[in-house]
Amino acid sequence: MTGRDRPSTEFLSEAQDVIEELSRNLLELDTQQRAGLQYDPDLLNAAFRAVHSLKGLAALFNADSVTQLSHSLESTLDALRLGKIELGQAALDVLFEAVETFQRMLAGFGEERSTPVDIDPLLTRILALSGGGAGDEAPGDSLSGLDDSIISVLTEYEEHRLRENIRLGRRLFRVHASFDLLAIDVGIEALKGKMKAFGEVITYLPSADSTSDDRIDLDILLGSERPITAIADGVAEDGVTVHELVTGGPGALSRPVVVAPARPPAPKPQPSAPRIKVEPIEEDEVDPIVEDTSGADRRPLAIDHDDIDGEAMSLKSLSQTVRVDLSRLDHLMNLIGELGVVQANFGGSLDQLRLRDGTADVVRDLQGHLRTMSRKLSLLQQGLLDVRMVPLGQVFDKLARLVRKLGRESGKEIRLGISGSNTELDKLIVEELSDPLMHIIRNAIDHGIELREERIAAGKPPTGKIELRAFQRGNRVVIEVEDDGRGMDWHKIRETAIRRGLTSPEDAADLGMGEVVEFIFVPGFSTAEAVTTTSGRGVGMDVVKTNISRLSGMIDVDTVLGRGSKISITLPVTLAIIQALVIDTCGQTFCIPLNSVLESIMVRLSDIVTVEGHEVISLRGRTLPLLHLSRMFGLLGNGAEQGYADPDRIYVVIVGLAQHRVGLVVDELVGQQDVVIKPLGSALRSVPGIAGATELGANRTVLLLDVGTLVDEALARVDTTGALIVPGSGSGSGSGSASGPGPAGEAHHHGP
Amino acid sequence: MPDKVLVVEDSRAMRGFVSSILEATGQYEVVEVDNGFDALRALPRADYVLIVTDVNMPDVSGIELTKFVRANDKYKAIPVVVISTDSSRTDLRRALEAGASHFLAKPFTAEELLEVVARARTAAASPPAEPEAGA
Repeated sequence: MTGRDRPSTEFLSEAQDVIEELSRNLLELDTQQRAGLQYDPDLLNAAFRAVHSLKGLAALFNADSVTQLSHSLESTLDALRLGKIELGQAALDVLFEAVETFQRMLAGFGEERSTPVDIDPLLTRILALSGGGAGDEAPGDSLSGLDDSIISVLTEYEEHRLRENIRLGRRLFRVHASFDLLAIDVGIEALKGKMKAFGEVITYLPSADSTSDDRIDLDILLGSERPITAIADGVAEDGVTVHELVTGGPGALSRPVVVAPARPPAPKPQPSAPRIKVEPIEEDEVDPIVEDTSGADRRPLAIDHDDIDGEAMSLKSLSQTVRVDLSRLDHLMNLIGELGVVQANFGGSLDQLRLRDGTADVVRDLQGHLRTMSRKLSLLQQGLLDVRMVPLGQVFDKLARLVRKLGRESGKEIRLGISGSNTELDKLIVEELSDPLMHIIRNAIDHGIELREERIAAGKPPTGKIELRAFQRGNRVVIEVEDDGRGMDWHKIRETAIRRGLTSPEDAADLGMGEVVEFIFVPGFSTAEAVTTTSGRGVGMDVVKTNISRLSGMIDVDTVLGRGSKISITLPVTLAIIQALVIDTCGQTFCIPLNSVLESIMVRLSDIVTVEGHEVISLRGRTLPLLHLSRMFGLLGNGAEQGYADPDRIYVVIVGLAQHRVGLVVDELVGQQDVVIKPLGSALRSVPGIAGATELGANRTVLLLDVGTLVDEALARVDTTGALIVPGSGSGSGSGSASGPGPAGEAHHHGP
Repeated sequence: MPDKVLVVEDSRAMRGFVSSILEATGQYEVVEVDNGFDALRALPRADYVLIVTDVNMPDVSGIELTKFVRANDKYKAIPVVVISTDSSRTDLRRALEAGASHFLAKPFTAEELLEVVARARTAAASPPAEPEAGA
């Protein structure tokens, strides 16, 4: 990200937005198509507009290949929206492929040396699509009943929609509304919502009739199958008449109809209330009856212009968002972290001051100020974290495209249900989530969802279902992927685990389904023969686990054979600031992310058992490998063996990520603290077991442990010797005195 | 005081491009909006010497906006430059018929934009009827 110059970053972020918008529109069109519905032309028009914007954008930044592809795509989408090409699955396939291609091109822009994306095959497909064009619009006869002055201001697309509405046998209505100019956006939205319930809003024509500065009149063309009375009732606001235009031949009539009695003028006018009347298109038509009343109360509804249009209201303030580079936010976050340190130092000085005589009043004052400051500081911190939050929707859209693609490739019918797209997570986490989720979805489609015939034979609905859900639980976010496919056969998984020496037949007999299923996260396990297409998951769940662990997340599996599987991922909302447990070992201070600490216990030397050269303890029936940070990081120097300062008081911090847990042996538990994570310099980046650095008081830089790596490290050592299975681990010698509450021992399914 | 120009364009990049060119001259202060409704809102709030608008926008298009401006006594002297892609000839023709004074086909260069703007303003400064614009 650092190597990019500004315009390029700007280009990428806007292009990304535009492509996501395109993707969203296509997904919705696809859904409507498959459901056999008449698709919403607004979606297709929005897709066209997105590509149109992308083209302009790419040309501006000299991104030639993007320009070329979007140019070609724009022509096709233009033909599609003008009805010159039919929108079917074949066209959607090409459009979705274009989205993927754009994404790959954009990804390539960030890289120093990336192979250019070959767009020629796609261009050929796009061209082939346009080839079979149905030709031009039918001649203008169908519009003959309409006023030329209307048609002359329609864009080609609007004119097409007008014809299309007539072709579909809809009636046309002209709605006349008067808005307060300053609140026109609010008023239009409200009215648009009502009108869309009845049909298609073809265009808005600002009318020159109202020349007052603070009001504007609009003529709105609406196409609908509903009768005039229904529409008049539906859009009724103040005083409404609905006017129907009769088209389709010379001498077409215009039928004014009056509905909805005008209410008396409101004493206190609402700025956002649109006032609606409906007028005939032909000038010489009979005026609708309500005309007069609505004309009479036009003035009272006008709001006092000066009230709203004060000097404070800048003309430029119409746009409400700014775009910020994430690195700037990181910088602010660091500053807040440093302020936190300053605050802690203040507290320390205050404690010193307290010890002196005659300072009670000052100390009390200072304490009050300090409390206020710390409150504001945490609000500031929270505010900044909120800024980093983005909805999961972008990732979900990507997954929806994947489901569509894989479904079509595998010949399986799959319906994807999505909920919680608005759930927000830190931008960085959202970025990292997309790969693991794609993996899970791929597995669900490849191995979970059965073929149509198989499903019917099993008495299931022929269309497979995948549910993608996100929701907030406390200060964590849960993402679930649930399918109604085969589920996993945990008996088979257990057999494989025994055969591969991951567990003994005796121990395996005691393992419940929850524990057995976790074997799928062992590297290489799932590629084994037992878990093939007949029984469930495919490859790579270990990679998924690693990625989720890196985000301090947990992953759980719930499966019922023949009914389906549910994979749940629980994540912290942000990684930028975390709560950490501060510990000391061999005079070095480290931080451990608190969300991976299960508990801290104190054990005696006699509790530690050595199995094949590896130290373990038994805790509530479960064997726990121990890891000495001092040895791991070579803190002892010249190979000295560590003696325990006090053999009766050995601190063990039990950490767990995803399914596994390990005891870290430390000298001292210092305390808990919020810390801001800073990236490491290049020297430390390659040290395994270190995730980052942070600052504690007194300008001390402290390293943050990467629990995932530590756990893997400890288990790798133990696994090879088979020491994970300790004889008699059920009854155990454990006499560890737990010094903290929290789950331990038992199978861990949801986070602490 | 620089002269005010209203730029109506729904693509942010294109809007920024047009605005930065105009503002770089030091002669203009640009008010940017990204849709026709906001353009209607912005109109009475300042005296503009020029409107630059995209043609193809949803809801209120550049054609409709042009027609509105031309039919309105208060605004009809303001020259309107429409920008459009070369492919939408019909739209462009209608915008000109609705009263747009000049047009620019995308993509265009900074020089082309400034030249068209200059021509539009010269034409507006010496109209046969109302010598009002060009403050």
